[in-house]
Amino acid sequence: MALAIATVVDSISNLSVSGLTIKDMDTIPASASGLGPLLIPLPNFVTNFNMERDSYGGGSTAKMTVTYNLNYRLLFAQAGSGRDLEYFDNMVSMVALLWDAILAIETLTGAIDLVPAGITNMGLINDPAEHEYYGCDIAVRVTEFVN
Amino acid sequence: MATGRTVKRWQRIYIDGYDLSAYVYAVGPSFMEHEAAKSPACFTDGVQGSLPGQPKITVSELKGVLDPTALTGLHARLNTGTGALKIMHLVGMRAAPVAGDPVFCGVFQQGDYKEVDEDGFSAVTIKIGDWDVNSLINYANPWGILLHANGAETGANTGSGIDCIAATSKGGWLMYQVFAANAPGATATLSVDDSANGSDWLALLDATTGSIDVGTAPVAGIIATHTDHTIRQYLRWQLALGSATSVTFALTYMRAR
Repeated sequence: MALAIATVVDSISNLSVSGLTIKDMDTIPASASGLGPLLIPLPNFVTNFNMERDSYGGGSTAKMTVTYNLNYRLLFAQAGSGRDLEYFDNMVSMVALLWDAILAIETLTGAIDLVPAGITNMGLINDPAEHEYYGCDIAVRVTEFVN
Repeated sequence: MATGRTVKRWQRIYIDGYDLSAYVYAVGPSFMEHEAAKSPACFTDGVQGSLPGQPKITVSELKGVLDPTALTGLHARLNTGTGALKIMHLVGMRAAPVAGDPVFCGVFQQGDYKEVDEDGFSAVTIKIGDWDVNSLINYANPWGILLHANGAETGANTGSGIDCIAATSKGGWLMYQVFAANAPGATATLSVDDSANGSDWLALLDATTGSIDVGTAPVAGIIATHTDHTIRQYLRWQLALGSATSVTFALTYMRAR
């Protein structure tokens, strides 16, 4: 088995979260304007990569456990499109819905395990076109077996 | 059954017909250990050593959550801290256990029941001792394969079974865990079939529970066959319904080698 990051990201994009569109690596919009709540990969998408060898052998045979973070940005609502605080509880609720969907995963194609890894930057953030949005950055930790 | 490695969350633990997996977060180490006899011994030494071919077998310890769920929870089942437990420890391969996955089975004496703080939540640790002396069998290997994963059946098995690569001639033993049936007092017979080619099946001699009450309460047990029995290459579960119309069970077979 080779690393399956693309498969994992595709699987994540197929998670069902009410009201949220999760984008794959090849479907990131140039601007989030008018698209509703979005979860998009961040430019620093793969971080904290780690590999441990679990058996003897060369690269084609040695069993390895690989872990890494995938970093996403939740773009909930464009700043200025409504009264600011009216978005806050709905945004937090959507984060909870996303975590619920991740916690409920039985198996995820491509990954051995997927767990929440953190939330940062909750508040005003930018979409790919530098529009200000209410949202946050979300990280998930992926475990894969290689060979 | 997938091949290759797996992770802890796909393990399962069944005890005396109860699936306690949702309460347990660690089992083991599950092992058998052949100790070398110590020699020489003096007259004043305590008796020590081991019988050839007779290892120490145990699952060592269970760690779980202190959950007071009535009747079916870990606390309800094991808080007496003692008694013989028929334990089936299953290792699913990157998914919930399915037929062909490895299992570690045995009848062990419970040693204690301790409440402990585990990073802020109330946990329990349960020491599992050696094989129960009232359930001794002439087999030294507790590792086998799962023939039927925990699930309901309503009739006989006509499937192709599990390919165990080769026949053996040293017998074996089975463990069953019956979780439920359609009605109190309902009866059924669980057994094992073997086959040389995966298509022509025969009942494996003596590998049967006989008719048992599967409906009144969860039940588990082990059945050992003679140690010189030939066990053909393919194995499968079998069910003969008595008065039961549905039986929910898991069945494993430990082939001696």
